[in-house]
Amino acid sequence: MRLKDGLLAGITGGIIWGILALAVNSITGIFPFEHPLLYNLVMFVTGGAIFGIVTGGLLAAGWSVLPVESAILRATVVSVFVWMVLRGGGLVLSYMNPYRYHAVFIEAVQGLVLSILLGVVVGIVVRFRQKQHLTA
Amino acid sequence: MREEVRRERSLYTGVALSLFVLACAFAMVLIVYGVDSVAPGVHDAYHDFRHTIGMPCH
Repeated sequence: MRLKDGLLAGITGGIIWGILALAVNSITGIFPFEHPLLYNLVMFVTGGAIFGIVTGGLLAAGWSVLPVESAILRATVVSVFVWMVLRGGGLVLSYMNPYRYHAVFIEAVQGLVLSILLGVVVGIVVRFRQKQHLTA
Repeated sequence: MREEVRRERSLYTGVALSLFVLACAFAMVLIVYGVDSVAPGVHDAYHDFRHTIGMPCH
Protein backbone atom coordinates (compact mmCIF):
# COMPACT_ATOMS: atom_id res chain seq x y z
CA MET A 1 0.00 0.00 0.00
CA ARG A 2 1.37 3.41 -0.99
CA LEU A 3 1.71 6.17 1.62
CA LYS A 4 -0.43 8.50 -0.51
CA ASP A 5 -3.29 5.97 -0.54
CA GLY A 6 -3.00 5.48 3.22
CA LEU A 7 -3.15 9.22 3.85
CA LEU A 8 -6.12 9.78 1.55
CA ALA A 9 -8.03 6.93 3.20
CA GLY A 10 -6.96 8.20 6.62
CA ILE A 11 -8.05 11.79 6.13
CA THR A 12 -11.39 10.74 4.61
CA GLY A 13 -12.05 8.14 7.30
CA GLY A 14 -10.85 10.50 10.03
CA ILE A 15 -13.29 13.25 9.05
CA ILE A 16 -16.18 10.75 8.97
CA TRP A 17 -15.01 9.35 12.31
CA GLY A 18 -14.88 12.82 13.88
CA ILE A 19 -18.54 13.39 13.01
CA LEU A 20 -19.44 9.88 14.24
CA ALA A 21 -17.56 10.46 17.53
CA LEU A 22 -19.51 13.69 18.06
CA ALA A 23 -22.76 11.81 17.40
CA VAL A 24 -21.82 8.88 19.67
CA ASN A 25 -21.00 11.11 22.64
CA SER A 26 -24.15 13.15 22.03
CA ILE A 27 -26.16 9.92 22.28
CA THR A 28 -24.32 8.33 25.22
CA GLY A 29 -23.93 11.61 27.13
CA ILE A 30 -20.83 10.16 28.81
CA PHE A 31 -19.17 13.59 28.70
CA PRO A 32 -21.57 16.57 28.70
CA PHE A 33 -20.26 18.96 26.04
CA GLU A 34 -19.09 22.38 27.23
CA HIS A 35 -18.92 24.02 23.80
CA PRO A 36 -21.71 24.63 21.26
CA LEU A 37 -22.44 21.96 18.63
CA LEU A 38 -21.18 23.95 15.63
CA TYR A 39 -17.90 24.76 17.38
CA ASN A 40 -17.47 21.11 18.35
CA LEU A 41 -18.24 19.99 14.81
CA VAL A 42 -15.23 21.98 13.56
CA MET A 43 -12.99 20.67 16.34
CA PHE A 44 -14.08 17.05 15.93
CA VAL A 45 -13.62 17.18 12.16
CA THR A 46 -10.10 18.66 12.44
CA GLY A 47 -9.19 16.35 15.33
CA GLY A 48 -10.60 13.38 13.44
CA ALA A 49 -8.67 14.31 10.30
CA ILE A 50 -5.40 14.50 12.26
CA PHE A 51 -6.06 11.14 13.93
CA GLY A 52 -7.00 9.69 10.55
CA ILE A 53 -3.82 10.96 8.88
CA VAL A 54 -1.63 9.40 11.58
CA THR A 55 -3.59 6.14 11.41
CA GLY A 56 -3.45 6.08 7.60
CA GLY A 57 0.27 6.87 7.56
CA LEU A 58 1.10 4.12 10.06
CA LEU A 59 -1.23 1.73 8.22
CA ALA A 60 0.63 2.32 4.95
CA ALA A 61 4.02 2.00 6.68
CA GLY A 62 3.11 -1.24 8.45
CA TRP A 63 0.82 -2.72 5.78
CA SER A 64 3.09 -5.67 4.96
CA VAL A 65 4.09 -6.50 8.55
CA LEU A 66 0.66 -6.39 10.21
CA PRO A 67 -0.32 -9.92 11.28
CA VAL A 68 -3.88 -9.77 9.87
CA GLU A 69 -5.24 -10.02 6.34
CA SER A 70 -8.25 -7.74 5.96
CA ALA A 71 -7.88 -3.97 5.48
CA ILE A 72 -10.45 -3.29 8.22
CA LEU A 73 -8.62 -5.47 10.76
CA ARG A 74 -5.26 -3.93 9.82
CA ALA A 75 -6.59 -0.39 10.25
CA THR A 76 -8.24 -1.35 13.55
CA VAL A 77 -4.99 -2.80 14.92
CA VAL A 78 -3.22 0.47 14.03
CA SER A 79 -5.90 2.80 15.43
CA VAL A 80 -6.20 0.88 18.71
CA PHE A 81 -2.40 0.83 18.99
CA VAL A 82 -2.26 4.63 18.54
CA TRP A 83 -5.03 5.13 21.11
CA MET A 84 -3.31 2.84 23.64
CA VAL A 85 0.04 4.62 23.24
CA LEU A 86 -1.65 8.00 23.80
CA ARG A 87 -3.65 6.61 26.74
CA GLY A 88 -0.47 5.14 28.23
CA GLY A 89 1.17 8.56 28.00
CA GLY A 90 -1.91 10.04 29.63
CA LEU A 91 -1.66 7.60 32.53
CA VAL A 92 1.96 8.60 33.12
CA LEU A 93 0.96 12.28 33.05
CA SER A 94 -1.95 11.66 35.43
CA TYR A 95 0.45 9.93 37.82
CA MET A 96 2.75 12.97 37.67
CA ASN A 97 0.01 15.62 37.79
CA PRO A 98 -3.30 14.10 38.93
CA TYR A 99 -5.15 17.44 39.07
CA ARG A 100 -4.47 18.43 35.47
CA TYR A 101 -4.73 14.93 33.98
CA HIS A 102 -7.28 12.85 35.79
CA ALA A 103 -8.66 9.82 34.01
CA VAL A 104 -12.33 8.82 33.94
CA PHE A 105 -12.89 5.09 33.40
CA ILE A 106 -16.17 5.31 31.45
CA GLU A 107 -14.67 7.93 29.10
CA ALA A 108 -11.72 5.60 28.50
CA VAL A 109 -14.11 2.76 27.60
CA GLN A 110 -15.88 5.06 25.13
CA GLY A 111 -12.50 6.15 23.76
CA LEU A 112 -11.42 2.55 23.19
CA VAL A 113 -14.68 1.79 21.37
CA LEU A 114 -14.22 4.94 19.26
CA SER A 115 -10.65 3.94 18.40
CA ILE A 116 -12.01 0.62 17.10
CA LEU A 117 -14.61 2.58 15.13
CA LEU A 118 -11.84 4.74 13.60
CA GLY A 119 -10.07 1.60 12.39
CA VAL A 120 -13.28 0.20 10.92
CA VAL A 121 -14.08 3.45 9.08
CA VAL A 122 -10.53 3.88 7.71
CA GLY A 123 -10.48 0.18 6.73
CA ILE A 124 -13.78 0.52 4.87
CA VAL A 125 -12.43 3.56 2.99
CA VAL A 126 -9.23 1.64 2.10
CA ARG A 127 -11.26 -1.32 0.84
CA PHE A 128 -13.59 0.96 -1.12
CA ARG A 129 -10.64 2.72 -2.78
CA GLN A 130 -8.97 -0.61 -3.59
CA LYS A 131 -12.16 -1.86 -5.25
CA GLN A 132 -12.41 1.39 -7.23
CA HIS A 133 -8.84 0.96 -8.49
CA LEU A 134 -9.53 -2.65 -9.49
CA THR A 135 -12.68 -1.77 -11.42
CA ALA A 136 -11.29 1.43 -12.99
CA MET B 1 16.91 9.74 -17.93
CA ARG B 2 13.15 10.20 -17.65
CA GLU B 3 13.00 7.18 -15.34
CA GLU B 4 15.58 8.81 -13.05
CA VAL B 5 13.57 12.02 -12.86
CA ARG B 6 10.43 10.04 -12.05
CA ARG B 7 12.22 8.09 -9.33
CA GLU B 8 13.68 11.27 -7.82
CA ARG B 9 10.28 12.95 -7.81
CA SER B 10 8.76 9.89 -6.15
CA LEU B 11 11.46 10.01 -3.46
CA TYR B 12 10.78 13.69 -2.73
CA THR B 13 7.04 13.02 -2.55
CA GLY B 14 7.61 10.15 -0.11
CA VAL B 15 9.82 12.28 2.13
CA ALA B 16 7.35 15.19 2.04
CA LEU B 17 4.41 12.93 2.92
CA SER B 18 6.39 11.28 5.73
CA LEU B 19 7.21 14.70 7.20
CA PHE B 20 3.52 15.61 6.91
CA VAL B 21 2.56 12.48 8.91
CA LEU B 22 5.17 13.36 11.55
CA ALA B 23 3.79 16.91 11.80
CA CYS B 24 0.28 15.50 12.25
CA ALA B 25 1.53 13.09 14.94
CA PHE B 26 3.04 16.08 16.75
CA ALA B 27 -0.24 18.01 16.43
CA MET B 28 -2.10 14.94 17.73
CA VAL B 29 0.08 14.87 20.86
CA LEU B 30 -0.52 18.60 21.42
CA ILE B 31 -4.29 18.08 21.11
CA VAL B 32 -4.46 14.95 23.27
CA TYR B 33 -2.40 16.38 26.13
CA GLY B 34 -3.52 20.00 25.69
CA VAL B 35 0.00 21.44 25.62
CA ASP B 36 -0.80 25.15 25.92
CA SER B 37 2.86 26.05 26.37
CA VAL B 38 3.54 24.97 22.77
CA ALA B 39 0.16 25.72 21.18
CA PRO B 40 -1.67 28.37 23.24
CA GLY B 41 -5.40 27.70 23.54
CA VAL B 42 -5.25 24.09 22.35
CA HIS B 43 -6.30 22.76 25.75
CA ASP B 44 -9.60 24.60 25.80
CA ALA B 45 -10.21 24.32 22.06
CA TYR B 46 -10.12 20.51 22.02
CA HIS B 47 -11.48 19.99 25.55
CA ASP B 48 -14.68 18.19 24.50
CA PHE B 49 -12.87 16.14 21.85
CA ARG B 50 -10.25 14.99 24.38
CA HIS B 51 -12.88 13.83 26.89
CA THR B 52 -14.90 12.11 24.17
CA ILE B 53 -11.95 9.97 23.06
CA GLY B 54 -11.20 9.04 26.68
CA MET B 55 -7.97 10.90 27.32
CA PRO B 56 -7.11 12.16 30.82
CA CYS B 57 -8.05 15.80 31.34
CA HIS B 58 -9.35 18.04 34.10
